[in-house]
Amino acid sequence: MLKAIRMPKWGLAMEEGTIVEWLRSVGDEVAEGDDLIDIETTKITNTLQATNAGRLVRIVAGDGEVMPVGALIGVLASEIADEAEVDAFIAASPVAVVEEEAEEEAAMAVQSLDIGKRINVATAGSGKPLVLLHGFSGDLNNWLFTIEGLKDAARVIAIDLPGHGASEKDVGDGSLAGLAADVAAALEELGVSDAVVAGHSLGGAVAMRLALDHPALVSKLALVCPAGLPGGFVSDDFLSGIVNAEKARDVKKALQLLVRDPDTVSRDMVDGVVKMLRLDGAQAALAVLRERMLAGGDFAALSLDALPPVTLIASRNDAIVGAPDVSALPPGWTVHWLDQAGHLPQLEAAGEVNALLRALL
Amino acid sequence: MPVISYRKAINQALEQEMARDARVILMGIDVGGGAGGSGDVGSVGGVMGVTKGLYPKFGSDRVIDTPISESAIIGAAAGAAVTGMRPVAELMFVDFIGVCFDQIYNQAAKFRYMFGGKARTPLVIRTMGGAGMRAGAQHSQTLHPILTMVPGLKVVMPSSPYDAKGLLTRAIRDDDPVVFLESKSLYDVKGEVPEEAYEIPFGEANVLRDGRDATIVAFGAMVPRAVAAADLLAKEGVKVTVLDPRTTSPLDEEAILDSLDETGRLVVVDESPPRCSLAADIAALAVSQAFDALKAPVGLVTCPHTPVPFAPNLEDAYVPSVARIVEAVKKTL
Amino acid sequence: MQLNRDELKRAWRTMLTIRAFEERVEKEFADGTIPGFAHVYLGQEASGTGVCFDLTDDDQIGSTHRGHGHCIAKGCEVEGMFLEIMGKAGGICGGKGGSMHIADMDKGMLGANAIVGGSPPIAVGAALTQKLRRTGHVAVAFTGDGASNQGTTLEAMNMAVVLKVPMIFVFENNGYGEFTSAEYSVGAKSLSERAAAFGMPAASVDGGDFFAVHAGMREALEHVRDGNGPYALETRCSRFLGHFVGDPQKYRGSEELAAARTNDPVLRFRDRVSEAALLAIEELNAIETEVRARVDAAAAAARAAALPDLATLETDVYVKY
Repeated sequence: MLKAIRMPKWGLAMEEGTIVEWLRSVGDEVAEGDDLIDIETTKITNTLQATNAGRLVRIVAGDGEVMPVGALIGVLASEIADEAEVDAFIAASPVAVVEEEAEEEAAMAVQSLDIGKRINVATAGSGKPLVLLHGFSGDLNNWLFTIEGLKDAARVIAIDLPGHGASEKDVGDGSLAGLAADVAAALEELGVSDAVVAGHSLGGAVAMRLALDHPALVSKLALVCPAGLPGGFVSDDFLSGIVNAEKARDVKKALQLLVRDPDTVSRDMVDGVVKMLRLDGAQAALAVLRERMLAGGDFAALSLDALPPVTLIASRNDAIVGAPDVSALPPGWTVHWLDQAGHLPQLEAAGEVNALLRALL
Repeated sequence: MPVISYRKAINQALEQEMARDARVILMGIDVGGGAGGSGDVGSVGGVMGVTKGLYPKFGSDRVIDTPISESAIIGAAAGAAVTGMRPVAELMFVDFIGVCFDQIYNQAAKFRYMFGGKARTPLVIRTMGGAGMRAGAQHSQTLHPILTMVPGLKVVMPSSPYDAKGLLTRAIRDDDPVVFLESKSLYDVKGEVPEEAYEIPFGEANVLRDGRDATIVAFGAMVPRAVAAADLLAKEGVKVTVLDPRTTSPLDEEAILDSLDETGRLVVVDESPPRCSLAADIAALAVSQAFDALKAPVGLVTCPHTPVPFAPNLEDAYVPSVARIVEAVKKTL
Repeated sequence: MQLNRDELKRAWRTMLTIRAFEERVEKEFADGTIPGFAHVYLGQEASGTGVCFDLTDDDQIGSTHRGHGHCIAKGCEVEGMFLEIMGKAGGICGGKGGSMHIADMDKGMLGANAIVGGSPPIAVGAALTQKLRRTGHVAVAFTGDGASNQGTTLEAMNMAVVLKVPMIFVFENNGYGEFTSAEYSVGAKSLSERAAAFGMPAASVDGGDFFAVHAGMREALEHVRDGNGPYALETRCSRFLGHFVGDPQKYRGSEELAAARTNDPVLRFRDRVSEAALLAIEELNAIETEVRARVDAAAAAARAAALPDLATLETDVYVKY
């Protein structure tokens, strides 16, 4: 039985990808979930994992090749196959499978909610709600791989926090309670309750505040490198780097603090953040959030003991919020340490994060 | 994100800034849509339809149809600017600059310096340039080199819908005189443009492609061609950086020199005759500031030293083509 | 339109300040303390004074290369003007403008202009600002017989009529555009008639008579402030000196040159107000003494003043670049 390995589609904007490196060689036995290929998109470099077990029998597109989404790039065999069979399989395989992808694409909808201010939301899939809250100066696109990876198992709802993305640049006093109230209003507008809420960085703190202030909305929390835990900090190099950035190169410098390997910060990733920061009021809104975070009071007021079940995904190489003091956390929290990521594991180690989130659904 | 045309992006910037600031007014030939006739004013909006819809929304005090009197249009806009308004004057075709240039380079551009820093002239001159419309020698020029050499002016050449909106917003909010050079051939090009208002700073180049083999610098309508050339080259394994400085004054020299430092090879694509062009200017920058980094002669892809011809085949041959850009890059390798 | 004593004193002070200033400029130019060119306003004092007499700092004027008198009439300080004309630090434009580019935005002085016909379009814009803001204020473009033939002036007149802006075109007809006489260079019979053909009311007054200019200007202001669009006022003046200080004026006959001085606006004003016993000759003399002392002190101070700091060479090109 032969299986096609195709160029994945990571996010709405992806049209093609560059094969940076095959991590396995022809003849290797591959298990489901094994890292197969490093693929570079205009957003970020990510690793494609095997969705089937088998032996890698053919590499169709080699290192350095640029292939459209859906294109055949390799072949796996679950039983012994001869070369002629593989050739026939490749010849019979459509050059690119896009129609199916187009349908999936249609499944992801971006909408603008009016909760007294404009809140931008992307939704995909159906089933149990999984709410995704990005961090400071991020937007819902930070969850690109999460949305794509989990929409088969959940109704994934990614929200642009106020002051971010395409949401209104009004953050009020910048308090966690204010941000959480806006998220709650958006979720109510969507008719969502009892959700698994995953929050990254500042979004992690907002998720905690949301669970405390609006308990009916949150059944479980997943905190990804969250701000506001004991033992952690908030790097003002990053916050002020963003708030005071004037040029794209300033933004790039700040974003490179987020990741373990600075080369993963691509031009498109910088462009996306630069475009957001240029919007009227965006940097001013972030300045309000920065000051509020540096004051620290909102974090201190988070009653960790009162939270619903928490899965904490923390990174040992996190330059932005540091490593939390696990001994100071309430008993019962599930803690996962990541070694291969910086502060953006949902992009840097998407497979691992997705697997952890999937387990909560 | 909404996908809109370059024309609509400019219109949106005008509309949003007019709504935001009552000092912003438009003036020029037919910007309202033909005042004084027996039909409807506002049914058009400039000869290219860029200002369509603004007259009905803002009225004749803010969208001012003028006689065909370019000196008076630009001069009055400069006078209104220096006395507290923020006019956006439309000069229609940049070719018409000849009949009002005094009001631009001797008046508006010099007020601040001549008057010891006491004048503020927040004037925007919107005008369009470039070949491709079979419009002949007096409706097809670019002329940005002439404007770029004038101290006191800022000169903007937007190459995409996103840039057009953000740069025009910046231009309107800027306190200095800005010449905003639209490319006729780009009006129908579409791209993602945020609904919200945003500014793109002047003097910061846009990097459209990353590569370590060569650097292409291109302006305005030449940017999409440079990108197309880069993509063709990439298929042959040649990775080039494409820089769009966005503004010729101020010029992001740092971005050009930084990139040159990495690649050592430079091609400048400029839709203008070669002498005293931006191509020549940037070549001079490279030679005077980064001589040691250069691994090959700088490639200059420009128009010939002729007026813009009319016959379609001649006009097509006049403008730098993707093929010429590719060839110029290869020559540096 | 009888002026009271204070107003008469003000008019006299302005005219005399212009006279004293320009005479001193002539002297300083001969001494070599003024770089470049100097075009003096001697003989035209009543025109600028009469035109600007009822204007406030919120009304704006655009001026010409022969602009010192307009500056003074609009309220610019002679101290800053002398510093500027001599290219000194502290000049009204920091020494970057010079004689032909004196401007003072706070006084509504939008700039002397070394381009003949440069100002009228700009003044249309200033008037447009006044109209759109409904301030009730006006803009004035000073031009001359020379600029009356420039396309910019003609375009500006039409534009002002079309946009119906509160603006007054003042044509100071001193008979010469540089060395060429208006008799030769102006095709129309009269500047005011040509202006009227653009569709605005126009009048022509004796520019050597302050009272005539002032009366003409009152009418113009009334028309313009009522929202009726622009107005043109020709003031027929006499240019005492040549185009620039030091111009030997070979193109003017000796009879004409002698006659030019007979229509002296300063003497005419003095005679008229003293004969009518509106002001005593002592009062007039006292003002003259005071004005001349101030002008002389301003010139002397400017001579002694420092040159601009070289660091200012590259400043003030942009608000922010």
